[in-house]
Amino acid sequence: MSKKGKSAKSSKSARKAKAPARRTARSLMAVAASAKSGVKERVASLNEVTLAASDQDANVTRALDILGNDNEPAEVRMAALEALQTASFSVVAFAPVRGEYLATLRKVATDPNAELRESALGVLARNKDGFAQQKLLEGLQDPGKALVPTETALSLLSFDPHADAYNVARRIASAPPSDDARQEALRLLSADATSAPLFEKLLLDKSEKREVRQLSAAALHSIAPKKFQKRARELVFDPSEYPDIQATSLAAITNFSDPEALANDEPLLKRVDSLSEKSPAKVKQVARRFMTKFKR
Amino acid sequence: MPEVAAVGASAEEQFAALVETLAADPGRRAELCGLLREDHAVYEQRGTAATVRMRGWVLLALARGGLADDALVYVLEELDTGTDAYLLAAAARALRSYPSPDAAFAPFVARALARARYYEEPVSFERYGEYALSQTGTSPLGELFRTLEWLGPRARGVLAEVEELRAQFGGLPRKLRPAADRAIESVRGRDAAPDAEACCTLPGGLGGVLSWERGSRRACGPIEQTAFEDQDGTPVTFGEFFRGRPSVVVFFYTRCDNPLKCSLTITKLGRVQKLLEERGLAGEIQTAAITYDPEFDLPERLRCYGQNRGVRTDACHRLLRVTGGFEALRRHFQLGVNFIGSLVNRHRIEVYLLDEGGRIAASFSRIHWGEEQVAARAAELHAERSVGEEEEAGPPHSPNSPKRRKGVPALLTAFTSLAVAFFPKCPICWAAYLSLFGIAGLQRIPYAPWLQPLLVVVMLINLGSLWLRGRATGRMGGFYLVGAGALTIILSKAVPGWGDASVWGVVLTLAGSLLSALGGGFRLSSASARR
Repeated sequence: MSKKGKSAKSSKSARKAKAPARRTARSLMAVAASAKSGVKERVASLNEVTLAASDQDANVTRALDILGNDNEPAEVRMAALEALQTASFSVVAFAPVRGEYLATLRKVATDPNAELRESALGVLARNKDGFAQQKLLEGLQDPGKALVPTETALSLLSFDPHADAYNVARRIASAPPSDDARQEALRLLSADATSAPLFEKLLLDKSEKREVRQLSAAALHSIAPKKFQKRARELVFDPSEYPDIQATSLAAITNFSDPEALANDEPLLKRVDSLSEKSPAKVKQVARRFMTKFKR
Repeated sequence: MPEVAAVGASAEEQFAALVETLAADPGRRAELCGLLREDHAVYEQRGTAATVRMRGWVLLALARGGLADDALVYVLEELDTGTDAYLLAAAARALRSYPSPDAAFAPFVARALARARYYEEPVSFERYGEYALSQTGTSPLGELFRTLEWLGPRARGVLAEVEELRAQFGGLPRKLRPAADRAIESVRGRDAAPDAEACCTLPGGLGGVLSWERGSRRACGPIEQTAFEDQDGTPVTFGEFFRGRPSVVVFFYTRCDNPLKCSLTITKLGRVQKLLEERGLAGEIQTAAITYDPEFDLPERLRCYGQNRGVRTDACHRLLRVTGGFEALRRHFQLGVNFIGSLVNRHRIEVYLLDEGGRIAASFSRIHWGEEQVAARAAELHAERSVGEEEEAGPPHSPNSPKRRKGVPALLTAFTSLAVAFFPKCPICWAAYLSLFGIAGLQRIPYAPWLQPLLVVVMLINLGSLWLRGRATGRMGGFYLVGAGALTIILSKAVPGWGDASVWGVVLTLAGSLLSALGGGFRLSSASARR
């Protein structure tokens, strides 16, 4: 062997020696499943393991066992849930264990640990799971049965417009236990076409919180754009209006109003022109876009 | 909280009790099956999850008592397009309770199997509304494999698909592989496979396709003024858009989360448009997609939804939302849909063909429809219009009591009738004809007795065709007149001294034939017409 060849081989082996040994999914899961390993080590193994790329059944079953075992430390179970959730994105590879995963999550959804419970319900709700929706609705109707805080339950139910949550959200929006719960209830209702009058009222009510009015503007734009555009013009002319509400209103007018009518709306053109010169940055930006589109 | 109480568990429990009561009484099977209609009042203001629980419970009750023909289409529909694990599993179980396995079920089971992999989850059939918390119970795939095993060699047509599914790496949950193997073994079986034809013919003519003869179509008067807005925000009434040309109409909504229903329906509508274009009928046959969710599906949403699925839009092809009178439209089409608030909780697949008067001429529902089939039927409607027949619409009747097309061409019937009426039946007739054509003198015409049996055969053919046509159109007057005519002719030959009566027989035959051809005569009840 030449000298050059020898040195190349030795440097290669040196690099190999320096690099940490890449652990297989099997060995990582062995550590993760072992009660003898420390919690940190187990969590680290679960964070490192790539379940979808491995021979899924054995490793996924181990991860599912950890997740479903309430004698395991919560941190380890949480790490197992995250690993499984990552694996589930490979829909085809994960299909054979999907059923078992969902069954385990349903069990964890009523776990004494709040963080685990919320995470499990989150995954189930995103899958539009009937069990999770039923539990969340029960909790909203009877706080004694609530598995998660009201605002979290509303947020999770909003993943599915068919979840039958509009009635309960309306009730909570009118008599909220907290500001957060009210905002989540309104966010959920923003997909409900029959709530347009409620959002119109909130948008025009200057005594309402800025966040609520901003949310109402976006909701009204989504479910009743014509109604919103009519109101948006008034808001653009109101000098006392919040900049973000003005910006939202002006953006809606720019993108969705009748271009011909806008081009002939002299007072509006004049007003937006002045906003494009002198107004908060957020409004100025939208106003300039408007002028670029409609200036003659 | 009255709203909360309305959707509370107690109401569903009452429903479950009702299902048990109906299932226990064989005399109320039709009522039990009726609970599967999407527009049934029990589903009003229910959430989707509640609707799933309720329908699933009905399917399981039907499975316990044995599935009959009237409920079969709901089960096949679920297997064809369902994406909910509980309903898929319940439908698979219900199918096994059908009196006998049928090769026509196999493609439905195979399609459901391919899809259920991605919706697999444990389900519980123990108690109403119960969700499974462990893998110990059953699941859609488990039920489907058992159903496949029940089908046995009759599912030979889908064997390759099932074997492929079994062979795929990670294709099935490990615990279900033995069930898959058993099913495959059963399908391979030793019995002979059914003929290829059998795999495609549903029992009892089920196929979700209904047609109405021209004279029996329901007038669109009640919804003539129903107001719509199209994808560009242009207002139009039902009468303005749908009168003048035949139309293909589909129903959908943009928030539908079943990819095999609305999204696919709109994509297929785009394909129908292309097929009509290829036939040169793009400007002659209109297409419309009407949303179930007009409050949410604003013009912008309609336009984007259609564009993203390859639907052409112009003056003849529109996506529509009702702006006034949705209930009237729902009643007129008897739409298979129900709502919670303004949101759809469940709907069936439904496609309608309207004639140039806006009357429903055909419908395709529940089971997947073929674009070619719809385009061809629409072209037939266009041709029918070209023939220029004009009939007043018959009295309204339920689309559940249609007359299926029997394929009895009216022109053929009329021709046969006239041929019989004018057929020479005696030496005098022959003389008259020959004199008319100036061919020969009376003394040279031989009387041909062999014509009499031929005459009887032709008369019977005529009577048969009139009977079929009468059953198809529900108008039997022509048949009865021709029957009376035939009887008179026979008596004129058989009874001495009745020779002159044959003229009346000919007159009656001619009158009956014309009456049938022109669509006159009294109508049968819709029930007997359906039979």
